[in-house]
Amino acid sequence: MISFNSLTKRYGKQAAVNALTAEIRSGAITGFLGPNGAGKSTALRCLLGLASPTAGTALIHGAPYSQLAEPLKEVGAVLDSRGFHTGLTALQNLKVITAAAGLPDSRALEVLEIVELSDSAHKRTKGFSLGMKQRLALAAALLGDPQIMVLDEPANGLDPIGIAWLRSFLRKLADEGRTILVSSHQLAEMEHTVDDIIIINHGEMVVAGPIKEIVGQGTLEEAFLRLTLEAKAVAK
Amino acid sequence: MKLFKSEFRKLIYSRTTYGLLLAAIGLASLTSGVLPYVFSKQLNPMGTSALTQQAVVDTVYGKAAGAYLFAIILGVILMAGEFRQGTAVATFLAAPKRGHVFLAKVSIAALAGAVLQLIASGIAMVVAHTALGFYPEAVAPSDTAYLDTILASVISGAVLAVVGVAVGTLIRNQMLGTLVAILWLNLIEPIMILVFPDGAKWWATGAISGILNLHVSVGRNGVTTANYLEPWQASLLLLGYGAVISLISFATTLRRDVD
Ligand SMILES: Nc1ncnc2c1ncn2[C@@H]1O[C@H](COP(=O)(O)OP(=O)(O)OP(=O)(O)O)[C@@H](O)[C@H]1O
Ligand SMILES: [Mg+2]
Repeated sequence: MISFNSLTKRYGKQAAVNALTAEIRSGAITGFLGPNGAGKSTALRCLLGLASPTAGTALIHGAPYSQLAEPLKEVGAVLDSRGFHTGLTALQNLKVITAAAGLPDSRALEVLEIVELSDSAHKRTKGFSLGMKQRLALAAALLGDPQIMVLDEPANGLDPIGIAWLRSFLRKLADEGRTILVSSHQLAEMEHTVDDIIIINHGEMVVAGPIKEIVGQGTLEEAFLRLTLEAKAVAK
Repeated sequence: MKLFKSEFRKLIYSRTTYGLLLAAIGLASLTSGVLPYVFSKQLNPMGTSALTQQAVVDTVYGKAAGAYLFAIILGVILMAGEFRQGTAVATFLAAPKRGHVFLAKVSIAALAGAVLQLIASGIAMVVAHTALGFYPEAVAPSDTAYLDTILASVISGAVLAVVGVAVGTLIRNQMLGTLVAILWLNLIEPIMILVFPDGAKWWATGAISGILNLHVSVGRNGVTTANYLEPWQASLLLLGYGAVISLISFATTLRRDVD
């Protein structure tokens, strides 16, 4: 279970995330949506212990990420800023992680199989296409077979085939009972994939709940525009 | 233990490691191979070759420990490389307690720096021995010359690699960190030592010379090792520097946000 509790992250005067409070339902796919610069990545980096909140908390099973005894077995993460050592092969990159997490090396080959990257296991990641890197990042997130997946813009840079693959892949993971939190600034991209949505704008919550209730008859984009305008009007 | 294994893999999987090792071997061997020729052309007041002085021969061997620059660069790359490649995210996701990561990295860096210097100085001493063989006037080195050189190479390699990790933590930018290390050892310290010769022993390079235990009384350019620290003092000083800069980087920057 993931919860944001009045999470605030300021860079100088600007609040990238402002008093964000939300809970993510277990066993569902939650879309974490908002335009560029809304604060999605920042909130996720606070959740994963990569950035420290200015105020508030972001918790996993009631504890900060840094307190998890075996984090990779509980949470798998794909971040937009995540990189792989270009001089190492895909397999070597994963074996650095399995060693750190105390996972068997055989698991590295397994996850490469799962993301259909086995053929490139022994290739240096330098020559990897964006799609291959994204798959490798997913593979790394799956190493510990975690119940929770946190994905920041996993569809970024993928072609339509890649996005279709990703959608069905996320669906498969969710059907296995995992909790998935996936961010995107492409609203349409996630419309048919997610169960719940959290929309944020300028670091603040706009709306959260099951997508069916929020979108109603229109599209996600229409709902988003309507809701952000409403939020602005209320603010005034 | 897990993190040590992970850091060890990062070290041995990366080709940069082997590049730096080759560079260290090359530099140390080149210096040790060329110095006998240089010294053979320098004449003592009596008109004999400088190689007839034991301190000079010791210096030739001592230079075999001179590739410590590559140990510090290795340390910088081990840490700053994580930010350059973006693997810092994966590293801290697997081990969110950053102090543990730092400890593992520092330990592996120390080991790697020591081994790198040991190999480089070992090969360079063989080169020095071979090169000195071409000059019949060259005297034998002092009894402790080999051991002093090995000691200086291992300690300087280990400590400077740790310093490199600390610099990489403080400066996160690999190019900048490497540049700072190079400038420090090859420009700032030599200039400071030139300007304040009495303070030479307190600098990192001065401490390494101290460990080498050379007894150059009056060199050509007025360099004297007479007031250098005893090897054990110099070793402690160097270790102290490594510990202090590690603590500083650990306390000030390690916890900074990772993008
Ligand atoms: N390290 C940082 N230093 C200063 N400002 C930052 C930093 N990281 C993010 N910001 C600012 O915080 C705000 C939120 O950025 P964030 O990356 O979280 O947005 P996002 O929702 O992920 O956007 P995108 O869809 O473009 O990925 C932006 O205005 C950004 O400029
Ligand atoms: Mg983002």
